[in-house]
Amino acid sequence: MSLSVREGQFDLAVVAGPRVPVWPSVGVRTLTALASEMGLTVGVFGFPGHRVTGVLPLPGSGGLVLAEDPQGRIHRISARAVVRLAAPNPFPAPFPGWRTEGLVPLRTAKLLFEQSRVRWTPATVILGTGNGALRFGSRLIETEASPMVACVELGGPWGGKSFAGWEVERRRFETLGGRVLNGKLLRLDRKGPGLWELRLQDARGVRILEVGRVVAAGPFHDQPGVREYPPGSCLYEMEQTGPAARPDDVEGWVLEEERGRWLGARIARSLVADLGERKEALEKTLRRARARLKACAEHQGLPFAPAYDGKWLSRDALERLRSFEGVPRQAQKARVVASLECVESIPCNLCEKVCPESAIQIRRGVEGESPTFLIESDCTACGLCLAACPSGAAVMLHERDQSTSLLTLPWSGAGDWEAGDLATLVNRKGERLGSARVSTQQALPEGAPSGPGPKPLRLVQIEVPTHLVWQARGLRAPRSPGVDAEVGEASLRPDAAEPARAEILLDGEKRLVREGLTVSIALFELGRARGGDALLCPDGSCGLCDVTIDGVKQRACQVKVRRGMAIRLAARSEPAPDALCPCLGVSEERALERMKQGKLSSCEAAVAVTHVGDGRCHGQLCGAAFRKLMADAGIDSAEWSDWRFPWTDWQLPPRPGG
Amino acid sequence: MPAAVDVAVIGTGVATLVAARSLLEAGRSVLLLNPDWDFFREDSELPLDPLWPLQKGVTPRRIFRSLPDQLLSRLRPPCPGPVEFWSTDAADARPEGYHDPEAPHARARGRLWLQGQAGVESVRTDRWERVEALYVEASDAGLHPQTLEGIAASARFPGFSGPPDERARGILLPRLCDVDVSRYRTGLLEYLRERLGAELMVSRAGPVELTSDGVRYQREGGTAIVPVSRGVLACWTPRLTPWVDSQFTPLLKKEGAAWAREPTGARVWELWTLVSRDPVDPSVVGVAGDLTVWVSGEGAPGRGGQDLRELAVLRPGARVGLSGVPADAGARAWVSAESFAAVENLARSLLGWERFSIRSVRPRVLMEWPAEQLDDLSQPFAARVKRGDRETALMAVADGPIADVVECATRAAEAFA
Repeated sequence: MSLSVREGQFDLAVVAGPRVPVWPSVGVRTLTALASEMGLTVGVFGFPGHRVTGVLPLPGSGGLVLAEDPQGRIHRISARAVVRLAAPNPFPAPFPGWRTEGLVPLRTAKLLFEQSRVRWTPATVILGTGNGALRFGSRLIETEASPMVACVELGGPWGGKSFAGWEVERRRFETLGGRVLNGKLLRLDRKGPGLWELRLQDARGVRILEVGRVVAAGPFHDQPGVREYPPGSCLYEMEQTGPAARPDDVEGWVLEEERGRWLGARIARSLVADLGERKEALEKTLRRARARLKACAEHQGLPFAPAYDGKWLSRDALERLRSFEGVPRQAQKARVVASLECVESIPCNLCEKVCPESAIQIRRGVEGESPTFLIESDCTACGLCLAACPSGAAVMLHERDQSTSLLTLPWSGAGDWEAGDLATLVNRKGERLGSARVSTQQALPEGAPSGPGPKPLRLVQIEVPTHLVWQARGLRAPRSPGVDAEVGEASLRPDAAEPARAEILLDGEKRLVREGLTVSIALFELGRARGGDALLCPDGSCGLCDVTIDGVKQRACQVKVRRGMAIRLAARSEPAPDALCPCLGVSEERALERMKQGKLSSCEAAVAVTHVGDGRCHGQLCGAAFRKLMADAGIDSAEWSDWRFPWTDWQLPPRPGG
Repeated sequence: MPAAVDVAVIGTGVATLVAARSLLEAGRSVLLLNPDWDFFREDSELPLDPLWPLQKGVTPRRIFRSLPDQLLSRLRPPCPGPVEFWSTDAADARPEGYHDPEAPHARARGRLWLQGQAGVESVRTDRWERVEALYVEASDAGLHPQTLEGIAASARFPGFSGPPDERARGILLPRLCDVDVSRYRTGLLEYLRERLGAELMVSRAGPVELTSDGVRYQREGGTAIVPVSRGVLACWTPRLTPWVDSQFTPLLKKEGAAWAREPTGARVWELWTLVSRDPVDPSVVGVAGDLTVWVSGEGAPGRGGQDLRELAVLRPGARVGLSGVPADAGARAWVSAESFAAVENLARSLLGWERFSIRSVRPRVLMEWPAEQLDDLSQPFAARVKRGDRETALMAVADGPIADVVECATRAAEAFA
């Protein structure tokens, strides 16, 4: 029996790159639907159906896709156009200690948070200030998993803003007690079991942070979401930003959906010889997608960065906020009404979709129309918009009289509130303003989204002094922050039964591990994770987490723990921890020197000379850092895609007669 | 913009650089024009001569070109810096003194033709007869070839850990060389950049046109027209073929000149890089069936104590028409079912692998020249057109084994010097 190779042919092949967590994601669905409507034959290849092992570019005539199916057959697909969906860059530019298990990408951190009992104490640092970073930080605080969380902005180009995400996400994060820092990473060192020391240079000097873990969330660079490389080749790479469900990350979802639409239209325009009557519609789709993509970045051009006088919103900021169309003008004086304080222009409309009275109609930036948002007369204060808002930017309020008012805030913290409880009120930056009594805690109306946390979202109504009703936007239990680790750990899954533990042999030592975990996560729990375990890819495609299980080499991220298994960690040496290319030990200085020495002007030349990405990880660890290095060397790499081949091994079929 | 130059050299690869360097050494002023982005995108130069297929033109003369003394004598004069020589043979141990591990280098290692190993596609009988004939000629020429039998033959094959086979036999030529093309190219580039500067060394030169008294090309800032006093030398690689079709061939027809040598077509070669779980011995380049196999590694052997684990496998792929070079429908034959079968066979029968562990596959398009023409490189031009005092020439064999490329480029430059 030998390898079986099957031939196939499509107009368009859409393939999953390594580590793509959602397949097929929203961009792929939009792209393929549009291309099919235009009469193109479309093939979709990705895990778990087909494991795509490589794309061979045939410049000018598309490319060859090589994929392996579950039966081990190789599929050799010829396509006139190829779109590779790429996982987002997981790491910042290299710094000493970046390839240790102390630094994990956001996806890995989320898995560890959801599935493991790893500790996030005494503090967690998240690198990057995108919505994903801020939202994960908020979750860590809300669930009391980590008493102290800081997001670090490493100085990316974010238009008029000093951070990458939405103001509403930052507001929620800071309201909960998170901090946003600006700085440059100096080094990450292990201080003890589960304890790391991160050194950070900021304007005031060197900060030394003792953390349980550092999470790389990004974004770190502003890169185009779709590339065609070489230009005119019909070989595209599209970055995956969309989550499995829209509310999990609206920005990422919209970005990927519109990119898919734009790309689908563009490919159809290139490949379909005669579009006939569909041409106009296609052009319209292209224009609309382009406009929507542009709108996604509008918040960076017109940010809402309120100024403060001490703890209080400045007069100008308050005026701007109260003149915003999402904020009620009169109705709040007579009754409880929603206030949607989402001033920046962002591509989210979850509140609009959920409002049963159509009281929310988001029309901003439409030429010739005055912007609308909240129609306060129609609002019945049902609270569904508070439940739907992923950023916690919606509240309800009622200015009863000069002395007291009612403020309703969404709450997804670990504990519950009872009427009469004393809550600490905080402003939009998380600074304490004073105390107030809780009036009620309500469950959400039936059918409302319950929020991403382990406990369903609740609505907490507080009686506040009227002068605080426009200032206070968060509440905290009096004892928080500063929960002890045991409380934090228990609160992760308060109702979860203790799972069975299995005895395994790890490098000859007996250990107890919870059954059902993947070996990679178990290694994190046991404190034996290695730098190569950090990617924790969904399909085993990075190939960095090899272990020997019962004598057979396997990927730790793909095997679940079972009773009696004997695990031996790979004996080979770990990659060089500080190098640009950890697998081959190529340092940043050496690569830059060789690029400058050769005065290289193309990415292929840089790759050929430095060999970065030729190693075991196929550029998955170092790809983005290398791209930045090329930019530093004056090589334009923004539109470059690395088509080096392939990403994983093939298993040979059994020997004939063997 | 330069006022005038003696020679304009047009091309995309190492041959262009070698020719320009030789002309500068001869005291000529040179304009170097590369229609491509830079000199690193050209990858049609091979680090070694695969000597395959063993056509009748493969004689000791061609093999001599890959011997250390001859190869270094060709490489060193045109290369400005040092060209280090590394050998895995104790007899060639490095002499004392300073050695630059980052320098361009040639590496001497044996060449083993293996036949009869179970599962390996045998070298066709008629070709094996040629190998045997080569053995006789190599013996006569004092190259000390060895014949090996059984496990002694198989075990010398790079990465061998397959089942031993008593029927295996092999012929080993002990000291043929391969060259680090990338570093060699870098060394030449550094030298030329220092001497020519940005004005005379132009990459991304827009459409380069031949005019009656020189060349015209697009560059940043507009069109440049440069008179040339001695002539234009173009180095024909697959990437330059569109230029040859659009500029040189019409000129040839117009002047009624004839081709002195013509390629018979082009072939897509597949360069596979396989990863071995265990360290592999770099001392021999193996040939089994259609495959040429060697251990990849940069710099001095054993540098930094790093184990070598990468096996390069060169396989001749489909033939394509020259008109389609560098990309056409023929390129769709890259990495075909036959390619997989051949590499799988190698992995099973010689390497003893259970996994098909591939790091990269690079298709490389090389022009094919009649074998007898490769044996004799004394006439390096595909065609020449003489107009008054000026000559426009197209250099042949500017792609392929680096030894041939350097030889041809040096001779071509001599004709203009």
